[in-house]
Amino acid sequence: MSPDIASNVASSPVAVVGTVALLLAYALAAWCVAAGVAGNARKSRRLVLSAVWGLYGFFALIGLASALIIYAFVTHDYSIKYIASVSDTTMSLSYKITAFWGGLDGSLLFWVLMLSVFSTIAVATNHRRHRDMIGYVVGTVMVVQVFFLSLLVFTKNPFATFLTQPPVDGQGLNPLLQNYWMVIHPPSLYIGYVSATIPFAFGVAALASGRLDDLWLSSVRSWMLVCFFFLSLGLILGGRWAYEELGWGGYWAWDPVENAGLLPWFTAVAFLHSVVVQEQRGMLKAWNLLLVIITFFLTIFGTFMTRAGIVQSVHAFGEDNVLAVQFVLFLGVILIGSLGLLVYRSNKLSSANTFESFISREFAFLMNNWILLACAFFVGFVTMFPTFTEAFVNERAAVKPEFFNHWMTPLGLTLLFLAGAAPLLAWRRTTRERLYSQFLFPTAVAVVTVVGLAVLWAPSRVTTAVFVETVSLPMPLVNFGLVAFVLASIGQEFWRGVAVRRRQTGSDPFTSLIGLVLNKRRKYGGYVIHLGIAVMFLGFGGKAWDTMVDKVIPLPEASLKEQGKPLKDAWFTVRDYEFHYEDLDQVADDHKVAVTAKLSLWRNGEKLADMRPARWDFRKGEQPTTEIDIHSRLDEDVYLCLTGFDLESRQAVLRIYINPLINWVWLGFVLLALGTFICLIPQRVVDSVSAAPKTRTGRVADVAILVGALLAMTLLSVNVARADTPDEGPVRVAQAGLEHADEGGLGKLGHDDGVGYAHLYRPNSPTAERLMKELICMCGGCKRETLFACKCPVAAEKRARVLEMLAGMDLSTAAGREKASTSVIDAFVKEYGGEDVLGTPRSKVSWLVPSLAVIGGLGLLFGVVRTWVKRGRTQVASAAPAVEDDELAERLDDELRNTD
Amino acid sequence: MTSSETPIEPAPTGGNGTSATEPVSAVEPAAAPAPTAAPRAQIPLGLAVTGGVLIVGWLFIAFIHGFHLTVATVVLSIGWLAVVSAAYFVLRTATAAADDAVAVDDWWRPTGARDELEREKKSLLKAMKEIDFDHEMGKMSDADAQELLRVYRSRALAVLKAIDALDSGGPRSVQDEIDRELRARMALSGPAKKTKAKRAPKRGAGADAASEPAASEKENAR
Repeated sequence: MSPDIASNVASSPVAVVGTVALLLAYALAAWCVAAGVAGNARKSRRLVLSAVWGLYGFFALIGLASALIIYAFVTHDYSIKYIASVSDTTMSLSYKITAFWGGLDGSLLFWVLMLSVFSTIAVATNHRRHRDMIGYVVGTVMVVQVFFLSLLVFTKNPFATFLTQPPVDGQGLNPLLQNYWMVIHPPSLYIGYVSATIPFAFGVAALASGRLDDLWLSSVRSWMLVCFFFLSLGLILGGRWAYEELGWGGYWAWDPVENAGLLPWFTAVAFLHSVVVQEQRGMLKAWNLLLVIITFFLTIFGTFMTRAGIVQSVHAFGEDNVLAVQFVLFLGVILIGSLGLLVYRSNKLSSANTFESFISREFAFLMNNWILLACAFFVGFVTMFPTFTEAFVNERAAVKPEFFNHWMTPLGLTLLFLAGAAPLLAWRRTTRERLYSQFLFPTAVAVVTVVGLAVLWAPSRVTTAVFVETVSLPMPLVNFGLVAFVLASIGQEFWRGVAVRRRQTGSDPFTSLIGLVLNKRRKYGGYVIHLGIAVMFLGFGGKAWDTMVDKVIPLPEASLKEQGKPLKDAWFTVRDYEFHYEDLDQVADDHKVAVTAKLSLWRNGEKLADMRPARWDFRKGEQPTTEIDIHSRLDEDVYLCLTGFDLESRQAVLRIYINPLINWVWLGFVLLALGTFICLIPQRVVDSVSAAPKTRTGRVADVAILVGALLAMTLLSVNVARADTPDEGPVRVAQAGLEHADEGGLGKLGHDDGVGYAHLYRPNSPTAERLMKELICMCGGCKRETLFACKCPVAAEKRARVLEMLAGMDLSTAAGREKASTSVIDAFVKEYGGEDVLGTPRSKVSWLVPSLAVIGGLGLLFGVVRTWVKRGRTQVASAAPAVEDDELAERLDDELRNTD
Repeated sequence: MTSSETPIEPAPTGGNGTSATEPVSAVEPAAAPAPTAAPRAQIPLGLAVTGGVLIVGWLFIAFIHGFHLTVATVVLSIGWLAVVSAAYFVLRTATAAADDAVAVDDWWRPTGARDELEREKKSLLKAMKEIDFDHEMGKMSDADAQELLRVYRSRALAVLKAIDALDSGGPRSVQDEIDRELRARMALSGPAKKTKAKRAPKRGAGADAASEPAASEKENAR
């Protein structure tokens, strides 16, 4: 028994009761596994019912443990180690409660709590419909709970107490986590992860019981939508937090832990699409089961990555080999168990229908699934690549964000195309005439957009690397063309849909639109989600021509006035913006010393905003924090970061980012949220709104209330995602990468007074810039940013070295530049004893494996589907019409007439 | 208050021989009343005891916090609710496991079979409307739309047939026969006999076994 349980429980009644609750829950979970599985296998009603009641009891016990943890936080019970490690008396109540999931132990308990809530709801609403498999559902969920509880009970007990005198005060929550985002971001991701367990449980139960009709799908579709929404929300919030708080001007850097949330998102999206094919055509049954298994597997894999320390990330909890082994074993059990069942039942998963044409909605959905799986494979492989290289060749490779972008850009654009094309295709096959009539308008809009932008807007002609550095294409143009295609395609769907509905019902356009959306919620809600994705891609496209500039401004206007110097020296220009450096202020209080640069932003002689980037040094904290200031516009953001200053001379060092189109990413999410809510509207609500007879006023009121509720939920999501970090927050977020290490050499520049290093030794040639974007800063404090982006003194020193090495080389010819690049890279590899200093692995495996997977996968897809298509055409030709009963046919026609 | 004066509502059941250890779902449609598993008086008593324990605990929590409503009080009250709930559910887990009633085959069939068929019928009708809609939007040719509609129609007709079979009392289990007989006799007799019938003993192993002789009596009578 772990010392945590045996020795340390005496001092706190809360700890005693909490530990007992966990132990009881563990025992009950084990009983539920045994009773549930045996109950369904042996058709024992009592065992099945016992398992169901046990699940509810488990929920109550975990609720008790959670309540006790929160009670301990609120009452400052520092005899409990976990409370002492993540809380202190100065924290506000909201942060004390959110500290529940702030550390590893508490986050595991939070996971168990969320899963117990969801499983209770799922079982309570489904156990009568699925009596012949509910025992398996309970058993599967409880296997997961047993695993997590074994971690809690045996190694990570959140109720473990101190052996000796407990501390008077706690250590407090990491300042990085004490902000608005911490309340929302982790729970939303956890909810997304945990909700994928329910479809998995039903899928396994369907396989175990042999009930492989579509019934289990209807129980899990909404859960997967919930999973999709919360993963999306968690990812967007993470991006927004990174943009607002971390000061590197971006929102997504393919951090391993961020990628861990993206992997199940890909497969959840794939499932939501392919389930439509199963419902409509009875196809892809095995595929859907595989997707729920893979999605669940990836949620556990993501948790494993975050908690076991196998990846390097600012998000990771830290290295824990024992935990890593436990997770690996559990992942093995999941895979072997569920895939084994899938193979066992494979003969029951065939479909009477098959593909009849490549130009069909079924094939478009299948293609969509393959691309999504390819994305998941690529991101997963490259994320784990450093771990693989460390394990197999004893050298941890690094992968810079650009490597991901080279691949994910073309894959993402393919998905974007399918988002617009699939709705235009028909089930089974689309004839040439139909293809022409459906694709004409969206294609024309896309072509006009591309041509117009290419001629009129220079930034759209920027080329970016695709797949490899040497292949460069105008991807922004392709992106914008496809965005226009999707917008036109979805717009056409709405337009024609409303027209058809008007013809069918005789109602006005607005009523027809509402009726269309409410009665075909999944379809048109999905279209709204597609619109959201297209808008997000519009935002992604702006990255291709963003600007980053480091500026040193010796004196503010206030000082220039004092010294009688020309005031124009306080002005500087970046692109078409003018910045006026007014003053540098220092303010001190009990908590911190704040140095703020006062600037104003101008354009074409018009003042746009006052900007106040700052640096705060907390008296309690170890690391200074950076306060970004952003002026947001619909077309671009102006983003200011104070990277250094000199209080004596009042010199300011600023890093300025101009981020085109970035706000469309957040706006796109709003549409995505709205679309998801539309899909989730229950049938009962639709029935109540569309019940007749009603007056016109009553109908309008019903619709207005429903639309209002949808908008309110969407705006709530928006509000959650907004970056309104309160000014009166006690602690601000530390900026990763800001002067986190001083290895000497540049110490003479005054590290302690915050002069800053970001502006030093900037590249003076494209070759230098390319090299600085390829080499990783090895200081160990940042999240492996490149020398180009990192603001620390180590990065500055290495930039100086790059410039020094290039100074004596011939950069006038392509061959000379290539030779220079190679020699600099070789020198750095030699200095650091490995290739982990490189942002792009030189190993061919890093790109060969994904290439083979993607190309091979597509080849396999086409080959297999070609066989199916041939078979499908034969089947259709040989199918004979059935004879109908007249009375039944008449009834069916009546019911069809009354169906909306 | 006597049993003859006080009509007591039957416990919610699935109409397929479920016992009172069955968890109750709010989604479950109303089914034919069946004899309950526990004596009527125990259910209000159980609820009363649970409620009493809950209230006493909350009062104690409030007392030790000086009757001040704080976050700690609220959290601890939620904890006490969790304790009482856990005790209740663990008890039900144990009693369910110890319940030696043999489930008839019907219990394993999902309840609300007719509801499932209705659901499937609505789904097929919607799919047919969808095809019709896509056809009107110009995505599908006439031939393809008719072909797909034909497939869905034949499935929908099969579902209608299955619904009719259920409604007209098609193939039924022995348990369903007993339920129908009981309902018919209750409808014929007065309220007193109805009340008496509602307080029939728990449907356990004996009931299932008893259904066999009842069925065979019926068979003999024919």
